[in-house]
Amino acid sequence: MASQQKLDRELKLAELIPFAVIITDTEYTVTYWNRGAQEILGWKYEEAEGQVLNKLLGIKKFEFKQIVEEENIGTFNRKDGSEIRCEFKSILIEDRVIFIFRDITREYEKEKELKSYQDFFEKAQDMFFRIGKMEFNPKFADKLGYSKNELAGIPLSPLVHPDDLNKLKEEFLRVLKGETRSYEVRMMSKSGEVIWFEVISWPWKSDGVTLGSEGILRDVTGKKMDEINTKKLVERLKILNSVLRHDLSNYLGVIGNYLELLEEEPSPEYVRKIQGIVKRSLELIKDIKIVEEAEKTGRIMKVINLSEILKDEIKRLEGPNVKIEAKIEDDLYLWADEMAKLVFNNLIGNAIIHNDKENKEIYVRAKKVLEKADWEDEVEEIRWIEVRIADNGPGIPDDMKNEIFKEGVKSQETGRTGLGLFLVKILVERYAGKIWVEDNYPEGSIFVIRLRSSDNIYNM
Amino acid sequence: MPKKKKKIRILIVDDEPAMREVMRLILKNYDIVEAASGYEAIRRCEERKPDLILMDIMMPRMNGIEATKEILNRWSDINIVAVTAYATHKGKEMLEAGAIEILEKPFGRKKLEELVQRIMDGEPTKARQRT
Repeated sequence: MASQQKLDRELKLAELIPFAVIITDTEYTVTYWNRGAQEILGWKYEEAEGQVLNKLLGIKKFEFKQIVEEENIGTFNRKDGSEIRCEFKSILIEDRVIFIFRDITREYEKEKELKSYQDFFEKAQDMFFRIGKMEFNPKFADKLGYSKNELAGIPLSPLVHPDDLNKLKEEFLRVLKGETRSYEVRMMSKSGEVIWFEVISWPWKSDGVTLGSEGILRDVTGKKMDEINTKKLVERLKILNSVLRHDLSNYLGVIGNYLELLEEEPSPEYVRKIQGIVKRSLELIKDIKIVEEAEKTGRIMKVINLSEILKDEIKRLEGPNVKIEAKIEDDLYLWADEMAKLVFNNLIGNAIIHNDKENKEIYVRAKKVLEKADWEDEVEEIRWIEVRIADNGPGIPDDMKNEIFKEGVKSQETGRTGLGLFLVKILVERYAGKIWVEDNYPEGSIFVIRLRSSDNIYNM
Repeated sequence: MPKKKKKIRILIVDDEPAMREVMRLILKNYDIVEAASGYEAIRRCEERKPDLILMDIMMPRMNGIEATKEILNRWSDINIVAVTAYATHKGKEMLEAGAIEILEKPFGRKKLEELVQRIMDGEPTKARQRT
């Protein structure tokens, strides 16, 4: 009796709390239904009394029993047919089950929305960022070569190309002032590569307060590189056009002068001079055509047998006063195209033509070289083929060692077109190689060329 | 014996050997010295100071504009004529550097002979008239 009184007192208290308090028998028939239950679930006490709770809430009995025993969150039907998400607890006291339900529908919907946003953020193939809290989605981290966790620990500055840092700061400040901005920025990948991004950024707000900037990034590196290459190509073609006009105009002028001299003094020597200049003019046009061909992008790279190219060139260029000593490893294969032979044709040819000695001595060495480039936590191996072409000629002064690769820098002695080494430079750049000049001892020069071996492709 | 008159010395600076050669033939009555770059032109001035320099502009190892400034800084009495196919913009820079005249390429034999003669006779040039 005392316990009944105690229960009645407690039930009166239950009327005051904002949760649903429901009491059923062990078959879940409702015997008590507080005001909170009416508010949360919709039925009045009079409507709920005597009803089986699981039926009332739209759940099969075995499922309900399972939920009661194992879960404390469930989705139930309300009187008006809508669904309600509740956190609940149940306790069996003697022959009665007491349930307490708390409506968590709003929190649940918010959480669901947040989770859906997080899923979108995590799985999106586009790149997103939020600056203020420094958040990036995995796709962005992946693009820069980091894991999401690695990226989370890095400040923004080292990720941005140094030349674009101020621009990014300015854009960020404008977004903070409320603008939506669209711009391009270069970022640095973990391996040091430059990646161009197109950015659309807007203020990140919460409850009307601007907390930072958020936005979308798109990798436009391919497009940018195409733009840069086209610009470079146009510049180079302009230069070639200028070289062609300048030199041809000079040659025609000189021919005109010789014709004037011929009028006064008919001389076979002047005729020979004119013939020589005509020949050189035609060479210039031919060289310009080759350089133009070399400039064309989109060539297909393939495996090129360099050992054979070098041996053929040496055989072709050796002569009575030209001694070429060669030490060429077998099986040297380049990742290049058919124009690669012009690199060696020009360089060995130059070593002979510009050599002022009666007995011209050329030395050609070709071998594989392994270069290890250290990144932060990995070592990249580049397999090069190094060719060294040395001569006993007059040598190249230090201040001319870089100049000679520029277009139109003529040999002072021979007056050749000056496009040969320019062509060599274009081709070496195309094959992602390197070229430089060293002094030979006791006299002459050494041209050193490093081109990528095809092993870089096939041993990956 | 009458004292032999000293030949006028002309330095031809051009990176194109054919151009230097034909100018030498046209100016056969003068003492001709040649250089293939601005850098070499300064060396030739140190060895044998010329009365007149016919200076190309676009050359490797110091172009004509830089060489003109350097030469006039050291030997202000040398006459320098810019010989160029770029008469408009580069020619203006040569005049600013101190060249007294521009000879535009391609030029006829007579034009070159008359220009040299006029300068050596001390007749006013376009650049001198301006200053």
